Amino acid sequence: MLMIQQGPAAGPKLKKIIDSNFCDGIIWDPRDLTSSRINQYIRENIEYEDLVKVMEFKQYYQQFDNSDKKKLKDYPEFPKELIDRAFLRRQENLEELVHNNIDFQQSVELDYLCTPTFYIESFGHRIIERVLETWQKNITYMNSHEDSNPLFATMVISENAFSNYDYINEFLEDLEDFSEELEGVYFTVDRNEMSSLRHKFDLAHLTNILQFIYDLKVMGFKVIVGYTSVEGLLYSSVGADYVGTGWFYSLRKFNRVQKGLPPEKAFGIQKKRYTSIKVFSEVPLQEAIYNVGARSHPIILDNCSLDRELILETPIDILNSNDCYLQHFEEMYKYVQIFDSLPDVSDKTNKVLNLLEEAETNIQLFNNLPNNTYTINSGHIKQYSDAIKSVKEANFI
Amino acid sequence: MEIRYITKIDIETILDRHNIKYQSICPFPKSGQKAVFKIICDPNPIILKIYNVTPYHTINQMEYVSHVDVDELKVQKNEEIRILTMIIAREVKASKKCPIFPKMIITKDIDEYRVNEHLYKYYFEELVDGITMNESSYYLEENSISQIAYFLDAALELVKKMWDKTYVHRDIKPNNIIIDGERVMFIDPGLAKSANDETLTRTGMAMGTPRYWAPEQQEIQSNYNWTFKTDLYPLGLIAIEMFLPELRRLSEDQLKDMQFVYKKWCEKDQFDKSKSFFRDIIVKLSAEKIFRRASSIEDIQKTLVEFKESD
Repeated sequence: MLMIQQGPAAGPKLKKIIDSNFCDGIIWDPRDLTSSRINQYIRENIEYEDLVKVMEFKQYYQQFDNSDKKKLKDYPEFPKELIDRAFLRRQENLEELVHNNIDFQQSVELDYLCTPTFYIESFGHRIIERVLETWQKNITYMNSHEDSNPLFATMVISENAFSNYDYINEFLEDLEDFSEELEGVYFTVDRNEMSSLRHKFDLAHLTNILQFIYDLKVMGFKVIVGYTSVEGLLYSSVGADYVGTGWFYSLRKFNRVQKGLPPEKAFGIQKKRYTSIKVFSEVPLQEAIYNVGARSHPIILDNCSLDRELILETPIDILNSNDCYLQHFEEMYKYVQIFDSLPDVSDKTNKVLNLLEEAETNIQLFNNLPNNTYTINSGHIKQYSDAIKSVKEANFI
Repeated sequence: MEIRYITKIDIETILDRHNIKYQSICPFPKSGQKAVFKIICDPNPIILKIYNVTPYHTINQMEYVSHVDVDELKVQKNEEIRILTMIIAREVKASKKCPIFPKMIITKDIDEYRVNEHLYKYYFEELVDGITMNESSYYLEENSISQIAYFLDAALELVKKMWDKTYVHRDIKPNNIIIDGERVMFIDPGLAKSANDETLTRTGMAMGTPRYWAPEQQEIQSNYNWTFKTDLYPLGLIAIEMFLPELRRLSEDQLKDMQFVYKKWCEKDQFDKSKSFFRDIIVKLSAEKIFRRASSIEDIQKTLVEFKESD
């Protein structure tokens, strides 16, 4: 299922996506929207009633001294001290973190509650003990208050933490103790590389992320993966129940640096893009469609509402950015639904491999168009395909 | 001091103690310190289990020591007896708590039998109809996915009943499974452990047959939190041997190497149904990592339903 990863400038984008029915849920971000504003959205649009609603309080911003906390710093429930080793050693701090986190989430109507979110550099770091301890405190607190809301263990994990699976195995062994009490796990991967190739992934990291999702599902947890782009379909194929995606690049690819320093200043004007699973990429409209013209249409366009404008060659400046963001949701939602409809992980992973194979062919076709000066990078297609094949082989899928 | 094995006269003496008039005595294969006999008598045949708990180790050690502290010797002997009695005590406790095991009869507790310094502990048990699994058609004939699914479903039901009483068998193997028609039973819960039991620290005694043991059983762990997942592991291995009888002759390492087994499995049957049985059942029973095994017995039984009808 697809969730909106709410971020900055939400107003019209939220309305468009929700009115178009291109999502199953929403992950609210109190860093950009206050709880009263969130409640206002919910009150004003009946469609929210049918959506799965989650809100992440993002305490990990307090793990970094110079992070841009935006609205977070204004909430009385948000931790005031830096969350470092000294802070985490004190039991009363963990307890306060838990109580405040629950209190804060109670201010909004939610379907799933989250534990306090920590940033995890490595599953071998000592912070893991504190993280598990905090989850246990969260469960105990909710039990003592007869709060039966489903709880998600929530964390942001550095991509480097997925370089080796040994520590992850140990973490999963510990997590097993929580299988009765936790409904699921909501995690976001901090993509530590800032490559200009937006879909590029380290093969070992990606394989281990997919294995991690698969293992969580085998253990009976629901899984939400936040801040994803087209690779979210890979996550869905190995069992993720929900993938979160947003309108801006920073909501489709989480990066710690970018999160601390406003991306608008760092990266200038955003290019309008078209998300096409036919090429398994988000391609820039100008270079890949407008400059190439009608020959690009059968290769890239994938039956979305925006296609009409593109076929009519409506000038790119006239295209509403929000309609381009909506197209991303339309395309992602269409494919996430296909995966959700397939009966088992074998069918899902076979489907994603087929899509990747078709994408490879389409990219070749596109790149070889006469007089085409723009190249769609296909490096990630092989990475994605190899990662899925590795997981299939390791798990007899 | 030499080990003294139980004789027919010993058995007759024990039977006489309890006024049991027997017609014949059939011994089962001896294993370790345990000797098991089937006693044909009226009104029904019964089982007599006798454990040799003589503290040979302490006694033999003292033969080479010139000065013996009598008190210390007594303490050491008692400690050795206590350890040797642990398995029989566990077996009886499990049979009293778990309805799936054969019931203790004739006596209310374990009795002692002595011949000079040789000490034995024994109890009687109801005789369970049927034959051990390795003598049954499950092991003598080729099995289909559907037959394996039926067996696993019945065996998982027993694991579930044990776990309902917080018990884990920890020694499920073909020799400890009795088949009576469609009925499946587990016997010999000598290694059975309740989550509520005191901690067992292993002392280097040979316990059970490692071939079917789960990886977590092979490391000495004094405070391990045992769950039903340890009992899932041997069931997957047994299911593999049911489908691929040639693997019974191969080493334990090969049987537990899932990539190796999968290759053999696919060589035998390439159909999707068979592959999904391996993925959705076998791997969820016998994954090396315990967190990859099924977290719910009911869920895996639900998955088995479709395979029961698959042939």
